[in-house]
Amino acid sequence: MQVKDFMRTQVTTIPPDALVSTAYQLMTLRGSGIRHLPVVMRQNVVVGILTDRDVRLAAASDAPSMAEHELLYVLKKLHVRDIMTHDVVTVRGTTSLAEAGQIFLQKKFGCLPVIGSDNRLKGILTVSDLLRAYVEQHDTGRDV
Amino acid sequence: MHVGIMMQKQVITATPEMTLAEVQRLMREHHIRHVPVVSGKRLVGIITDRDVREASPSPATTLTRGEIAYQMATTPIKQCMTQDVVWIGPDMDMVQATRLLLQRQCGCLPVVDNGTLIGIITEMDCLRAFLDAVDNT
Repeated sequence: MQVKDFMRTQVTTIPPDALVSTAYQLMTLRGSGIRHLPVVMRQNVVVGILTDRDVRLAAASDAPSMAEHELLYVLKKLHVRDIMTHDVVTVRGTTSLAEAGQIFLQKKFGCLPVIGSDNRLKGILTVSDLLRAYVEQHDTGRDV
Repeated sequence: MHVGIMMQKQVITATPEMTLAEVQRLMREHHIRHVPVVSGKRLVGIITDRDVREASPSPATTLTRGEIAYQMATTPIKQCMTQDVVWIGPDMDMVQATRLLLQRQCGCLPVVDNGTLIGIITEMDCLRAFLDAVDNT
């Protein structure tokens, strides 16, 4: 089984020059469940990744004791490129699920952007996607 | 492969009387999002970082920072923890545990034996079980 069989192709992304407050609002939208945003330039080229943790840390670590309007004020002064991770570990659609799984275990990432040979974003893979593969493989008796 | 083999046996727990501020500190210190709540060794609930966030004063609050801190430091977690916890036994197969974790989207599953909390299963433990299964095929 390969990454392309289990990745999600509907991905919410954000440009590097967006405000961190915009990212925060995307992540905290009820029901969105977004914890990671791939940061993409024009034509979907991946240049970074922004996690909910990056945003929390940018908010000076005591976010819960800061009122929401104060938090948004702080986050409106920052751009996504200021706090994103630039060195993104990515996988290809043809990467095996086992290899992707080892990356998750070793690096403790929450997600891996999937890119094509042109460096453009093709999808996103999370640990949950691998767990779906685990269950499905068991149910269908398919080889991994 | 069974849950008892793959579970983490060292579980960080809280008690129902602990305050929001205390459990928040616990989560930050140990980099965890879910904390089983025990009374003695009996599992009585679970509290997540999300429960803590949602129990914190609302965005529209007119409270000052000091008042918010006071509220966090005096509210016991038993008021906002989930009491109806989905738990599993140590003999459950890891595939079934993974299925349950995905269905309930609960992030972790406490493992209970004879009414006592003996471990916890997270997404990462399920992933290790998957990779072990891959290696063995």
